Amino acid sequence: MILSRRTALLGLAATILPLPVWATPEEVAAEIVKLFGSTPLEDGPITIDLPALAETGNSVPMTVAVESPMTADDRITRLAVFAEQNPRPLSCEVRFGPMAAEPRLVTNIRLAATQTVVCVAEHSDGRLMAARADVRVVVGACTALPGRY
Amino acid sequence: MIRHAALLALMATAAQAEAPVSGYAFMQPETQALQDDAFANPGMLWVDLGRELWNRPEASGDSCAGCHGGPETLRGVGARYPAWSATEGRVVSLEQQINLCREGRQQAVPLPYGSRELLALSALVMHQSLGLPQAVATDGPAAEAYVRGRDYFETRRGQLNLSCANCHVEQAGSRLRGETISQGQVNGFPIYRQLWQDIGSAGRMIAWCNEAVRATQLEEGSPMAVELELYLRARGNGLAIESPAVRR
Amino acid sequence: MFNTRILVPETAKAGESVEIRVMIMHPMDTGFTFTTQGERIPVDIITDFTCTYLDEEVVHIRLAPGLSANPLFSFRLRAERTGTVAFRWVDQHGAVTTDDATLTVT
Repeated sequence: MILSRRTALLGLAATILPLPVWATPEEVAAEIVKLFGSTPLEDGPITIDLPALAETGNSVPMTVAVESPMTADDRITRLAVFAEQNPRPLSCEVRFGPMAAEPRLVTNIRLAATQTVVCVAEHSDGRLMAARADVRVVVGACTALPGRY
Repeated sequence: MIRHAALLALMATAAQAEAPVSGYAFMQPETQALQDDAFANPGMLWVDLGRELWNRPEASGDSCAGCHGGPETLRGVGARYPAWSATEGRVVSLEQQINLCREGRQQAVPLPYGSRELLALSALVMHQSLGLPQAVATDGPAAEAYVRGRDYFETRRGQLNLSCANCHVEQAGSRLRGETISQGQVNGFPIYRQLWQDIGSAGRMIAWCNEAVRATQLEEGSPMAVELELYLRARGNGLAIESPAVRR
Repeated sequence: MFNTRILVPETAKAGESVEIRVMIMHPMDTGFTFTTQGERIPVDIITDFTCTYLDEEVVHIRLAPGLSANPLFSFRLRAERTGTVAFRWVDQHGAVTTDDATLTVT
C-alpha cells in the first residue's frame, strides 16, 4: 500500500502513455470477419439493452436478445459482442446449443470509453445480422489514480 | 485567484450538516439495481465464501460456528462496530474483532487486512445486519476516539490540502467531473466497488481517499484509521446497513 | 477452484423457457492495470464457460477481457424432462471449475 514518489511517477506516466491502444471500427470489422467470415452484415431483429449513460465503464449491464423461433432449421447459432473503442474489441462470443430456449444473454461488460457496441448474430442459414448501441461512459471524480488501491 | 473565489462562493452556498444520506442515493439506477439483486450483487460471492470459512475448524478445532452457531446469531453485531474493546483497551474494527477471535479462541494466525478471507468473514457478519440501523456507540470509553476521528475528518491534509469534510460535508451533492459527491457514508461497507472490481473494507476506502488527496497513507488497522471509521460510522448512525453495497 | 453462484429453478413445466443465472469469482485481469508498485498485472481470465442440460449444450461462451470482473451470465434453456443442468468454467491456465443442479420438470 505504501507508494514511493518514483513508483507514483511511474504509475502516472503509465496513465499518460497511450498503453492500451484503442481499436478502430475497421479493426472491429476485421475481427468480425475473423470470427464469422466475410458474409455481409444485414440489419436484424436484435435488441441491445444498454444504459445510455454508464457511471462506470468497469461494469455496464447488457442484455442482448435476437428474435428467433429457435427450431432445428431456423435458429440463431452464434452471437458476439464487440466494443469499438476497447483495446481488445471482443467482449464475448456465445454459441447457442440445442437446449437453448432463446438467443438471449445477460452479462456485464467493460467499456474503456464512450463508444458504440456492436452485436453480430449468425443465423443457421448462414446469414449475419448486426445491431449497434451507443453508450456514454462517465469520467468519474477520483478515478484517474494509477494502480490498485 | 478568480477560480479560488468561485470555489469559496460555491462552498458558502453548499448545504451544511444535513441528515445522513446513504451513498446508494448517489448511484445510478443500474448500480442500485445490481446492489438490490440478491443473486447478482458481486459482493455476495464474498458472503458465500465467508459462510464456508465460518464453518471451517481452525487450529484449536473450533470454527466460528462452534462458538456462535449460525452467522445469523450475529444479527445486529456488525452494526455496532467499530466498538470499544475492554480487553484491548481501545476501539477495534470488525475486521480486528474477527482476528481477535481467531487468535484468542481459535489459535489461528490473524488474516491480513485486505485478504479475501478476512473480507469474506466481515462481509458475512455485516450482511447479517442488513437493513438494521447503524448504531455505533460514541459515549463512555469510545468518546475520546470519536473526537480524534472527527478531528482527523475535519483536518486538511495532502498535497491537495483537502479535509474529508471539505468534500463530503461542504460539497456533498455538488458535481465533480461526472459524479455527484456523496456524504462519504460507510453504512454499506464492506462494499463491492466497480473501480476496484473487488470488495473492500472502510479501511481500504480511507487509504484510497488519502491517496486521492495525495496525503500520507493511513494504514488500515492503525489506531487512527479505526477511530476515523468509528467517527464515519457514528455520523451515519441510523442509516440502514447495506453490506455488501455496490458503488461505482 | 473459484467460488461460484448458480441459480436454477427447482421445478419447471415441460416446454417452458427457464432462466438460468451464474456468477463466478474471478478478477478477469485485462493486462492493462497496475499494482500500487507500478507493476503491470498480466492478463488472467476465464476463457470458456459451458452450460449443458440432459448432456446437451445450452450455451458455450468464449470470454474475453472485455467482460467485467466476477462474470455474470443469465440465459434461457428449454425444459424437457427432469435432469441435470451442469456448468463448467475453464481459465487460461486450464483449471476447471464445475457445478451443477437438478431441474425437476413436471
